[in-house]
Amino acid sequence: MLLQRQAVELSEVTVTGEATDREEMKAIQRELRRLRLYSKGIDGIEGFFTDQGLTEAFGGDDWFPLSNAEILTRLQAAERPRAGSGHQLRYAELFKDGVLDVTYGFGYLEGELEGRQAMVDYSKSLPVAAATALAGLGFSEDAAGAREILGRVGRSIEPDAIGAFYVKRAAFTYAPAAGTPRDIDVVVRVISDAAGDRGRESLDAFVDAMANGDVAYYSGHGRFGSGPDFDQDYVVKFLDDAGNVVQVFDDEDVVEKILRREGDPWAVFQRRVSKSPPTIIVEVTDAGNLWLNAKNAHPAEFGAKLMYWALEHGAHVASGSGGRLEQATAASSHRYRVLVFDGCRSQDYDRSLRNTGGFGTREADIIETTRTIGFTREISKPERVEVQAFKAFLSDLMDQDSGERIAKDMGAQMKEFEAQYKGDPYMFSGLGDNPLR
Amino acid sequence: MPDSDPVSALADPDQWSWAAPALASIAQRGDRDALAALVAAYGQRTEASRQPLLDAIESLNGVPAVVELARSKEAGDRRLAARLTHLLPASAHVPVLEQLVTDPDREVAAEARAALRTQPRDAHWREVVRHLAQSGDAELATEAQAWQREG
Repeated sequence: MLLQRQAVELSEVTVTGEATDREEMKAIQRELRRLRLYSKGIDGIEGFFTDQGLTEAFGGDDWFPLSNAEILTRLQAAERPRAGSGHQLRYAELFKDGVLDVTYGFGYLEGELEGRQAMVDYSKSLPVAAATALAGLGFSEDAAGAREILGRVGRSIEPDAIGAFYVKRAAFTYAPAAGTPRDIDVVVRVISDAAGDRGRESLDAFVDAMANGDVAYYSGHGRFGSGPDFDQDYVVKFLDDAGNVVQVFDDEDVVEKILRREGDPWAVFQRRVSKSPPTIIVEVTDAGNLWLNAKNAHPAEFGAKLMYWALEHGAHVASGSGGRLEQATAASSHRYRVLVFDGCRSQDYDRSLRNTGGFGTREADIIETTRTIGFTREISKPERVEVQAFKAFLSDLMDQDSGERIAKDMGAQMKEFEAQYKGDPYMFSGLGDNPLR
Repeated sequence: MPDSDPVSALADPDQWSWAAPALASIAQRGDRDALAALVAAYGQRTEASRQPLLDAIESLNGVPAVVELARSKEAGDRRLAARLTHLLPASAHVPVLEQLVTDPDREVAAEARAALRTQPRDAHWREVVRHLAQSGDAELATEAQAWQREG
């Protein structure tokens, strides 16, 4: 008897059939276990883990129309892979349409290094370094080719879309255990906006990638654990009692120092912004903010308090029930995505993202950082630490390595290229429910 | 284990709380190298508080040191001067920045422009910016006009 299957994730235990179905399903589960794609109990009940194993075995949804007997035959004919270590990413979900769609977004950088020009120069160097790294992996810049490939899988890109597009056709072969081997075309979209005046476009493209792409990779500020940002955060203005601007600030540490002259800086800030008329105003430029973590994870820090005050007065949380991200994934055909947040303390995002529809551990695997991330050690050289980590990530992804291996190899790049390296910063969240290798 | 040399310890933001005041206590007022070390540390990507660095720069006479550094023939000194004015804004910096915004070194000029925007907006600042808004340097004039629109 043919079980009815749908192209959506099933809840843990949903389908029960006749006794023969259950015995057939037990046999399928045993085969999936032999293929290292299933490690749960042999209970004959088709749930998330059985479906995941089948999708990974067939390299997609080809098993949907097959009878249990046909599935079993195909699985039995498959060669058992050699044992490995760690968890594999759900490569069938990433590769099933024959395209790996990667978006690499650089956040807006300001106020560090040796001043404005140095920061602008660094920001501009990042997409250049990315182009070099991608060329090293065999990619070519090809916007028309990218549009053609993405169009083939239902992803339309406007001709004037922000970013540079790189393509590598037939970049690698994906050979699922019980499925048909196929060549995978890879498209990498690099979004960067050193001037910060296309923050909204950058953010829109990145959110689209999070919902509808295979991989969305962010590199930039974490805004005190609040989320990525593709434009300047805010400007603080001091006013006199008549409402005239007496000073403008672009650096929260300088603001804190000046307010400290009047007492506790945060208490002074709160008193002055709530005064009538206020003697401090904050102009939030929120067009590029992807506010993920609604709760301030660093409430003792003035900069974090100011960041959250600014967000609360001019931005909207994108995570959580009914938020922008949930709405975007609800309209998406993608069941699974890989995200990387290569910014300072991006582990702060995890809980908020996991509580967002489309980003649970069964729907997303996320590389996060456990500490602040430094700049490149030798800025005079063309390599950029952020890009080197991305290159390692992409290379390993195309090699279909384990999640643990990917994070480790990214960390190795940090050790080689990061200023003030202080240990491996990356951790992969969400791998626990993926197949073991 | 913490580094006992405050200058090398500044490479680690976790050590700024002791290294910055330690350096300020042993260096001479206006010591160029000490100021440069503190400013370089300030530029690290971190979310640690930079208050110890700002306090140390201030106690090493980082404000009055600007005038002499800005006169230097060395672009590195002038870059340091511009950066100091950005980190410790003061009305006294405005005449210096009025010169540095057109410095032949692009990094000096860029930082001076960013710094001038953040200085106290007294009558002198407004006069200088009004003059710059009419500059023949179109980029500079555009920036100055934007500062005027900020209020």
